[in-house]
Amino acid sequence: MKTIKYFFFVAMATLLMAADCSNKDSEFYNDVYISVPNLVQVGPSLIPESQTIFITAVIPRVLNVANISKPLDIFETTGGATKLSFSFELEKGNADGTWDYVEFVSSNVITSKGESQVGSFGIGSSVYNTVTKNYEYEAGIQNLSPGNYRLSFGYNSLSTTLIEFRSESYGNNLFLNLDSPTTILDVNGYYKFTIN
Amino acid sequence: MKKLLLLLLFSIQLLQAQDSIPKSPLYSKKNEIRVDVLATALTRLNITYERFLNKNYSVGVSGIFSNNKKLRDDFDAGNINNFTKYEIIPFVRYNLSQGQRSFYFAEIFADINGGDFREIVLLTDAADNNYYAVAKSKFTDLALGAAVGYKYYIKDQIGIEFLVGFGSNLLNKEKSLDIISRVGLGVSYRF
Repeated sequence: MKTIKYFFFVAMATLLMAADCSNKDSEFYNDVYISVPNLVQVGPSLIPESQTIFITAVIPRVLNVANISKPLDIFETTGGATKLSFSFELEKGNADGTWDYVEFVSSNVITSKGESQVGSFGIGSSVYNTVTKNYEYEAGIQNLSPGNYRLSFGYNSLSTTLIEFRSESYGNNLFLNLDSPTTILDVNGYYKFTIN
Repeated sequence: MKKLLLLLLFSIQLLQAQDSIPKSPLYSKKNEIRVDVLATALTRLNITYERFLNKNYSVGVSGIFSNNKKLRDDFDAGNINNFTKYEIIPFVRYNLSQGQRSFYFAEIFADINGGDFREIVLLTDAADNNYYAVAKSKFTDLALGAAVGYKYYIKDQIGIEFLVGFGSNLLNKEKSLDIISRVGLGVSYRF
């Protein structure tokens, strides 16, 4: 009888563990992932004296995506999401070769299209323009003290070759995760520039 | 010869003594209705009918119906892709113990389960562009499994039962859950 009881409790423990570990209910089923290259441009102002670095992200509503036969309507996919957001960080070089993160203040980021949020890192949002049917973002980083800087994309992201957008979808609409492989960054994932 | 007679008398007395042990009243109560309080706490309705065939075997069927709001919301939000709304579970049980008032048991069961399933599909709109959308559909599947449990009766009428087990769906795993768990804490009435 004792043997049966021991067997019973061992079987119960095994069953509980097996039942707990094998269900597929901890995943997410509301995200779409696509990849479209070179949606972000970074560069200095055409007027060198302005000491401004521009970030531009203009994303058409309808995109050609690899492995999808027809153009993909991302506005329709996201149920009419009006923003595609990405993040960026800025570091300033020290004389000893180390880098410190730059805390953005509102006068550092001048936004001409879309929206920006600033703090220890920046969030840029390409906002849907109903006339052009593009998601648009354009901002200049300026009023920085002289020195060497490096700009990177993706707060807490390990990717050095992608700029990652995510749609601001509402309700139960799908979220779009748009990865944009880029050639504007160096092999370590930085865009470097100098302010004189 | 004397010894043989004594042994015979002793054996007869022993048999008579065994006969005189009162049988559990539970033997005469062949039917049981049970509600799972664990499921009720999770806003699922789980009702079972069990028929006791003899001291070792019983058969029964459980019905589980769920319209849990949190599960429904998780399903609509895409946190889960499967919402099992009903299960019909016929089972056979074997009493692993000698007693009737409290005993361990093992069971095998079949589980006919069904509900809603969601997936992301690529569609084409009127402008001949592709777009992704959520498509919802119904599913039905059949699982087979096993469970073990413990049952205890109060006053030969009110039962308390703990049950744990699992089964595997067989026919439609693309939409149904891979594993069906069968865990319950039941309160029953035997008559």
